[in-house]
Amino acid sequence: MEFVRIIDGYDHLWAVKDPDKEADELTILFRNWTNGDYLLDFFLANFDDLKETFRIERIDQAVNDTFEDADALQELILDFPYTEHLDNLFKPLDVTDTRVRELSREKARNWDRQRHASWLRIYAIRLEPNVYVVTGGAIKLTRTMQEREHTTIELQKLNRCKDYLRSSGVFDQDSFVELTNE
Amino acid sequence: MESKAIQFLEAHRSETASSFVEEAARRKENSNWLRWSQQLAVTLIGYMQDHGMKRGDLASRLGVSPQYVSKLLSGSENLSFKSIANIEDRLGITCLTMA
Repeated sequence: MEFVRIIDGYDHLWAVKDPDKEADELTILFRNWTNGDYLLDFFLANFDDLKETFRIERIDQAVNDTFEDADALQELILDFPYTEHLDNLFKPLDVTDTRVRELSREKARNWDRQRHASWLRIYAIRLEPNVYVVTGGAIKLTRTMQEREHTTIELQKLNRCKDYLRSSGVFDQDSFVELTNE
Repeated sequence: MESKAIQFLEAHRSETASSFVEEAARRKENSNWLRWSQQLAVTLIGYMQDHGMKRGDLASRLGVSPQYVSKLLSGSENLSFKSIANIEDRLGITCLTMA
């Protein structure tokens, strides 16, 4: 598994780079989320979820909201890595990730979106306080990730990266001890 | 001194650098006209939904290739006023509205 630093000179944010893909996971996400042609196909394929979960029946609205949301999330991503507060953007994926934050699975989204909750998700592994590796992301229209194939794949990518980092001995015992004592 | 985690990431760094910042900066720098292009794409997607059309149908209506329709729908095409007027005439819609 290979990784890329997102911003030169800053250690906070990294992304997985699959050798078979042209770009890293974070770059690919935003290419897709700012591409109406891609979004049209996605919302056509997931139209029932859009209607059931968000009560939105217009694909043009869904595409427009995604454009807006991607812009907002891009601003957040570009802002936080320059600070010591990336932990404010990412939150544990589920309850198992809140108990122990050793290589925890995390999600980021535009938490303050108006009108309806944001469906854009960035998924990452938290290596240590304020240091994250993005494994992918999704347009999440269902309550759980397991309900749809595209989000299940993202869950598998998270788990695969976590397992790889753990088996490679990345886990920092000192950080863990500090966290458990908080 | 770098932490163990950062040292590991450095040691397993891809030869291909991330282009996220560069692409994000380009989107931001061009946001004024990209917003127009996105608005056009959203209008066309709404038109397709209202008329039950696929890309090929829209291409036929516009007299262009499906590949060109994909470019229009991407929301990142820098179109001329002439091209936009042609789309509006062919579809009988207004794509862009002035403030």
